[in-house]
Amino acid sequence: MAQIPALIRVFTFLSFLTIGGGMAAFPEMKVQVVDVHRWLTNEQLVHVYSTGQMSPGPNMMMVAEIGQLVAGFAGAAVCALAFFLPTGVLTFGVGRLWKRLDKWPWRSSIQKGLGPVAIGLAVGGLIIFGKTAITNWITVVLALLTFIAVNRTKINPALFILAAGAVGVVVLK
Amino acid sequence: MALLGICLPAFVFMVLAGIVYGQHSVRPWATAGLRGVAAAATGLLAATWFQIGKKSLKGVYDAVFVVAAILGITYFKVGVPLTLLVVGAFAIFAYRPHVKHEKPAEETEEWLRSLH
Repeated sequence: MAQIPALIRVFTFLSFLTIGGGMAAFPEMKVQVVDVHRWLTNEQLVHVYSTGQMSPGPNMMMVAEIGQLVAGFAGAAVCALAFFLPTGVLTFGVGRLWKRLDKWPWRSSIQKGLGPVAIGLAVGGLIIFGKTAITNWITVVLALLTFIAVNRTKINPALFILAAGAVGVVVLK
Repeated sequence: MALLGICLPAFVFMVLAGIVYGQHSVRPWATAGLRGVAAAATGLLAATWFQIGKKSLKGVYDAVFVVAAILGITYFKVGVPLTLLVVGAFAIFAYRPHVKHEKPAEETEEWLRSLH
């Protein structure tokens, strides 16, 4: 319970960094959760983030699992609210303003400029994530197979993740 | 209500995952399974961003800003806020509205008129 104010502070801050998607905030999440507050280890954070990829709904609801591990159900609830509420309100406000700025010349500049930056931030986050997740040739193969399967098929990606988990139980012990 | 309908199942799923993870994460089979899950999640995320990049990136400027943001995060380690601020500012400036010297404020005037 003593961690609740820190959880609110950290996840409210992180919510404003999710430009283009949750992965953009992953590097800062690692700094805050692993290095600053030591709530989880690096490997635990990667595990929690990976589990989030299987969740039915927003993948970034994985913040609730972090809260659950740190401070139980109250932690899960405050993390989810702190993470989703500010950006939800902001998106609603900016969405309305954005419509009004339809003919503002800089609108297109902001859209064109922030698009590649958001992709770069997410790929940067993915590289940091991958450094912990990819540890040997088996994990390389699992990542590559998933990459190819997701690009070439329409099968629910959660099934590939579950299958990789089963493979992991057998060969990564 | 719609938002709650989308978020609630994910919230319940992640809370349950947290409880199970808290109880079993020390077991070797659980850690091994999660290593497999993490590897596949890397592939999934890479595929997602590969598809987004393929659709939305165009030209040299875009490539430069993608690389600059990646380097800011992974090589210079300046953090997400500073990378976003610096690279974002340069990127927006690079795509600034074309300034017409003969009619300097034409686009802005048009926008201001549209507000009335």
